[in-house]
Amino acid sequence: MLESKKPPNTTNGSILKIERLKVHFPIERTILDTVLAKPIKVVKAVDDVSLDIREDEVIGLVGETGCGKSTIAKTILLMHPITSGEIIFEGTPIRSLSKDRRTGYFSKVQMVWQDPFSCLNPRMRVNDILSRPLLNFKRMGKREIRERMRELIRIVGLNENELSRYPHEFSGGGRQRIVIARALISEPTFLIADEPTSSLDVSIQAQILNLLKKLKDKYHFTMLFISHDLAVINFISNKVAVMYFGRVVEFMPKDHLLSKNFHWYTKSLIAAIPRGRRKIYASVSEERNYELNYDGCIYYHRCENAQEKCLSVVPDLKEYESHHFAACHYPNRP
Amino acid sequence: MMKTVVKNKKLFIGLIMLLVFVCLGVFAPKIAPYPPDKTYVGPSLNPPTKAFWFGTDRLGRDQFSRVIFGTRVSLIAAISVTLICIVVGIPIGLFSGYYGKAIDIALMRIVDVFFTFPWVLMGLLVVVIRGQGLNSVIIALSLSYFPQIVRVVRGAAMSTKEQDFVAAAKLTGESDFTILFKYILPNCFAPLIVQTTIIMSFSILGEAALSYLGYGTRPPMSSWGILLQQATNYLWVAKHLVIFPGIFILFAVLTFNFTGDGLRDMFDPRYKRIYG
Amino acid sequence: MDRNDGRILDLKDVTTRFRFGERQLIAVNNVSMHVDRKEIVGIVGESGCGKSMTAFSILGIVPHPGETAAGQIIFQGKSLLGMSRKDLRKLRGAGISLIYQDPLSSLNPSFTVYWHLNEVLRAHRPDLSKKDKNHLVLDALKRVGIPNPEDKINQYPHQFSGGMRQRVVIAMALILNPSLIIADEPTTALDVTTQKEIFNLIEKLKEDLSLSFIVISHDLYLIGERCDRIYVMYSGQIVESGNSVDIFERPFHPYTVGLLNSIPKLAPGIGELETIEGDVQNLMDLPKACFFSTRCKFSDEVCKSTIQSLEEIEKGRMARCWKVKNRQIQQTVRS
Repeated sequence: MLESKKPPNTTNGSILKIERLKVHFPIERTILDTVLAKPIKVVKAVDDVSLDIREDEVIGLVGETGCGKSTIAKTILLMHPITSGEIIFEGTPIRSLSKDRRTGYFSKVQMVWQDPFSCLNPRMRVNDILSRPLLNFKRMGKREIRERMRELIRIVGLNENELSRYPHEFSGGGRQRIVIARALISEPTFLIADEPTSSLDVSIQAQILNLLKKLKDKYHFTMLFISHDLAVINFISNKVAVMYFGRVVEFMPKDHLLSKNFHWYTKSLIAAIPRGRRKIYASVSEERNYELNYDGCIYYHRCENAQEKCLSVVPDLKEYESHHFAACHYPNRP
Repeated sequence: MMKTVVKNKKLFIGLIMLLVFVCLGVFAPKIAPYPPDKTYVGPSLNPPTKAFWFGTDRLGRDQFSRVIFGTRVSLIAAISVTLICIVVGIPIGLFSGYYGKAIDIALMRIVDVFFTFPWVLMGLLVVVIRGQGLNSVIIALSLSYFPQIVRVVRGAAMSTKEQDFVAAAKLTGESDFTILFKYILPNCFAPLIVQTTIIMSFSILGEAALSYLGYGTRPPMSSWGILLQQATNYLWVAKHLVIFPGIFILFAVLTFNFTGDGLRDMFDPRYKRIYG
Repeated sequence: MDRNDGRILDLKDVTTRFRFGERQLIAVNNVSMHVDRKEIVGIVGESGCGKSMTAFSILGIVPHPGETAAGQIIFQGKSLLGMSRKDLRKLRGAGISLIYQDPLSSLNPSFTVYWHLNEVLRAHRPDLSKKDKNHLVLDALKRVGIPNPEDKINQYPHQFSGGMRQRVVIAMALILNPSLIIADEPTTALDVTTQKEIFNLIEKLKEDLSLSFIVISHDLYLIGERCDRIYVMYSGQIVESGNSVDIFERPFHPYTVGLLNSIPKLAPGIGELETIEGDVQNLMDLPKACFFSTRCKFSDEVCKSTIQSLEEIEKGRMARCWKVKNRQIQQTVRS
């Protein structure tokens, strides 16, 4: 039986710590490039990110496409090599995990994927899909496995008789529920949700978000929720990390998301979100020049408050208020 | 499911024809009026008559019986070659496609050798090494065609491995072996099945050709190729000896072509939407 | 193309269906709508509701085996449904333009920006001299807010950001001075800050060039904020229409209310989102009843047995629900 866990009553320990993480992908070089000794070009998907995630929290990781949030998720799940820095899960750096320790790691760290249509094997029935994690991670008898599957499928809102169906017989929402069931069946302590509702219809999105919230409240796993949609992040997280071009530019309690943005990027993001009330905007801004080569703040060329220091010194995350960090030399004081 | 098969005309016809051939092969002794190697059951080199539907050859053997029994040889050849190609080709294709890099390069270079080796020469080579016979033909054709299977499976494996569910499988602790055979392979079936029917039709032609050249089945075992070879000597006086084996070869190849085309259509996702 | 005041586009009872053997899928089900001069009209709905197919029906580019079987489509006085293929082709790009969702795939990566704009001109105005064409190209790029167009015209799509590419696509759409531009999910593939800029551009073009727009999206808040009037579609039908301010303040149809409630708001402290139960209707087996009745919390036997028609509830506001018409439902939207 999946136990409803009680929330930890001591000050939460750190469950996942990301320290100065860099994940760089080399761009393919031709032989000519090597011969001419051209500098090695890399894509800096994640560039010096530090994040401390504590037990029972829901961290919302938000940013626009290409900012590196998915890369962080995949790196935590050992799908990308770490270029430099550390990721420490429950005290163990994941870099040092040997092949057999990895199975243990995956029994505790799981993922809910974005596209429910491609993350389920079309040739496996649902009961097969759900039983695999149990077979691989735990030593459970056949009967126990069947019980656990039935329990999970009910919890995620599907019928027991749907266990013998194939994924393509379900709608998008149904498939996503299967994905969630698969992720939770081995009772992980840490769940990463990478844009789990972005490819679903709006009315289905609400169902899935409610489900995730309910499951989180019941089973008290820690969640890293990734999305580009600030409204969704606002709904589900208790802390929010805003990313821009591979860096975390602001990290704050959820209540500050709408009321207190220290970083100018966060401010412009919040301002750009349509709120439904008919408005006429006055200005048409032009595209800025992205090709400046400089060593300073990554947001310099779009920032409304950019100053000289920003061009040459990279701002680190500074705690401008209790539990509220921003990577800015001249932050917005709302 | 049955409805889709029936609506798909090519597949339907192909499967019917296939059924006919299999029946001919299996029930050959019941269908053929005379044993295929019995000489002088009729006059020599006679054109088709009511008594001998396909005529007789120089030794007075009934062509009809010989052609019917030839079906057996062709079917055995086609099935054997296909089975060997699948058993050998699938694992190579899977490993090559899934692991990529060094393993892929190494395996594919070896497979390339077989791919580029002309199959007729392969037939000659095998015969030189182990002598004439149906088994040699089967071995030669298998070695010539298995690269096709490797190519198809490798391609499908390479595209399937990029799918999210493969990454998800790793996250659920699946071993490499399980991933290859439970996740990747089942998703390669569509192009694989089509390629299988293509190899079957190649085998029919290949066996006939190699037997014609004298590498394959020896008389008195009558394969269509042997029949053709024996008929060439009497081309001017007994055209009927060439026509009937030729027609059977044609229809056998057509059968597999239709079936293959039909299957390919059936697996096409767009097709399903239209025909339900 | 000259622009008369008043109605630019009028759709009356348009039905587009796909025949598969004996079965048929009705993608656009008796849809009536209109667009006036200098208006931004929004069509909003979830996947499968028929919003894109409506746009394709207007332009006559419904994919095979679909056909627009019934209704009238009048564009500036001319009927589009009976038009010859040749005349329709002349209309596309010059009278009505279409902008697609993903600028990366609407632009050919092997050709320059100049080539793309030139192609539009070549197809419709072969009479123009090279000098005139150049002038039009640069002018169009300037209108969409691309700085230094003289340098940009020889660049390739992959050298631009997503927002810039979409601007190029918009430039292609307006270079021949159409009266109406249909934008099908124009910013779904773009970031929210770029989205804001693109829509600012659309508003500006509406003002400066007296253009009309149809914007198609699944993003209800975006449509509400940026469109003058809205049509809400569900399962191929229009279920609600009206002025966007009114619809947001007082939505009528239960589906609209459900949608508004199920979208997470940018507001503090929400415990749970209200949801619309069930899944989107299958367009092949349409019931002889209100299509939304299987999911509506107000539905009863009447709803599940009678086909609902679109009725005027107030001036300028229509809804497809007899209970709304008879004022039997009071609904509130959680703000």
